[in-house]
Amino acid sequence: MFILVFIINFLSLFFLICALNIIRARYKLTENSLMESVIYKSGFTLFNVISLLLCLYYWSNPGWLIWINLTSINALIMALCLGFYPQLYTKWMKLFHCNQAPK
Amino acid sequence: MNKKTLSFFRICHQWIGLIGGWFLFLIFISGTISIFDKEITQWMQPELGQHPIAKTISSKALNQSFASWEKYKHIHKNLIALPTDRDPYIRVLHFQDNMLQGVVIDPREGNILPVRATGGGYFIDSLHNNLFIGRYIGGAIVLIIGIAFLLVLISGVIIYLPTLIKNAFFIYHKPTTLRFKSDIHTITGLFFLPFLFIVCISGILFLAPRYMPNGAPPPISTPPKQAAIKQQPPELLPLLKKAETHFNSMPSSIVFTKKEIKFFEGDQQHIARFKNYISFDKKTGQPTSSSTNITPLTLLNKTLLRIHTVRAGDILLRIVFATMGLFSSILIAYGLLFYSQKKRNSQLSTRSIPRLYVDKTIEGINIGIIMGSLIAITTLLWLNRLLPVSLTDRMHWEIRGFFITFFLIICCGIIASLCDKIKLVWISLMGILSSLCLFLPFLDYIQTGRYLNAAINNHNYLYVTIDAIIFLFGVVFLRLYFYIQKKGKN
Repeated sequence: MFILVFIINFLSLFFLICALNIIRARYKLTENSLMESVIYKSGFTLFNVISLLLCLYYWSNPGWLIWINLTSINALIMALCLGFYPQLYTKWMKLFHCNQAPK
Repeated sequence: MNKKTLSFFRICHQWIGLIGGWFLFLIFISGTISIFDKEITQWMQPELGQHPIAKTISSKALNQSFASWEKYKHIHKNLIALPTDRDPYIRVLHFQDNMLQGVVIDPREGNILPVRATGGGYFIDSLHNNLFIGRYIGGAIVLIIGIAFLLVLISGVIIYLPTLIKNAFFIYHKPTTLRFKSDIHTITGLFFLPFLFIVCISGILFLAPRYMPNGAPPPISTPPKQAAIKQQPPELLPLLKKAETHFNSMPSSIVFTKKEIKFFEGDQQHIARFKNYISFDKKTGQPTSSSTNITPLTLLNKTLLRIHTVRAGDILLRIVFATMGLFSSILIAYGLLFYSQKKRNSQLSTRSIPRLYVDKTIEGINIGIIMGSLIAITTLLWLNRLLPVSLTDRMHWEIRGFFITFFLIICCGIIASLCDKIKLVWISLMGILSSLCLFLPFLDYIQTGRYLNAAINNHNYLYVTIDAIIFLFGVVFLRLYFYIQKKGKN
């Protein structure tokens, strides 16, 4: 169960960085449509809430505490991944959603 | 915010962070380890491995516990800790020499188990709570550091706030650079802010009441009376059964007062530190009082205190908190390293000799504190296995070994920094640390192999698990050793 919660939480944070325009600008990526950001933000909220509910359901009393700390750890891992392997993010964005900004 | 105010907060963050960071690194590392204090205490008493884990408590065991408790009842803060899932033995504990210590009793057979004298997890706990200086003075120092840490957190938020959104999820990918250290420090601080604030505030809440005007006075031990009439031991088992029915679970400890016997509820049940109890009259065995309802404000206070100690929940919460503690230690270490590297870079432009030496000394202390804490803790574990079991004052020799190593490494760091041998000292200390971690499981097997085998036969895998974790840390430190060797002194 922990692995499942970890993955869902991690996914939600990936959606968050996909939704942030500041990160798109850093890698010179532009949006294809206005809906992209909305979809990613909704995905982030949805997955994060699911991970919270799962935490509360399986670890009743300190479930919320596990969720807060797990989100912090995952956010740090996400930042490290983005720092050392930005190609994972840029490839995803180029493949599915974005175009490179004109120079 | 104007530039002057921002500059004030920057100076605050830099200097309070530097001086406080020296203590905070040790406090965070020991705090992280003390999350598993009970497991470490067992690991440091390998003789326990040969005794099968008992699920029941006998009357004989409780009587023996009472008899052992009577020897130390004149010492302030004494209790009988009952078996739990984490520590399946009865421990009769008393607070002496700045930490808890005592005897271990088999909960089924009722005999005192012969174990080596060790500080165990209680020493690391004491290091975290009061730097092993003493409950009152050490606690005051830790409280001051806690308040300083709060200031560092607030000033950190203020100075990094303007660039926070711009640099969200940004880590510069070259680890030898100043920017990388700054990014790791900022990002970790940003994401772990809720944890750091909670840990800091709850830590202050833990210690502050001691120093309030109506707080508890410093503990004074009264010597045992020579001609005291021997008390008739109370029948503890029926009372334990009553307490178990009252709490719906096994109580965690028994505390004796003049007229009452108090049974405290197990600490895994609630997220708040309720300290629920039921007390019985010593003579009649009738219930006299139990814990009362609390206000919402007290509930918040007790919840924060329990979050700090991570007693509620199962192993998962403890692992998550240990990970947070580990990353927080990395946050502090990177803060110290960032300061050193910034100063070293600025040395290139400055010609002031005294300032140069002050900066070098500070860098030496930074290295000493980071590596000294880690090596000293590993040395403590080595000494636990190497010192003869029959050695007089064995427990104190373990602790002396810890402090001697710690201060030796700080001296090494300062000397190496003054002689411009930063890379050499990093490589040497990292090599020593990784070797100590990698070889400790083998030493453990050589020294206590029969206990280890007995533990495995008794389905007690605690010793093997801790050995494996230490080995894993050794591998990580070895990787860092090769990394530093390749990259250089930055």
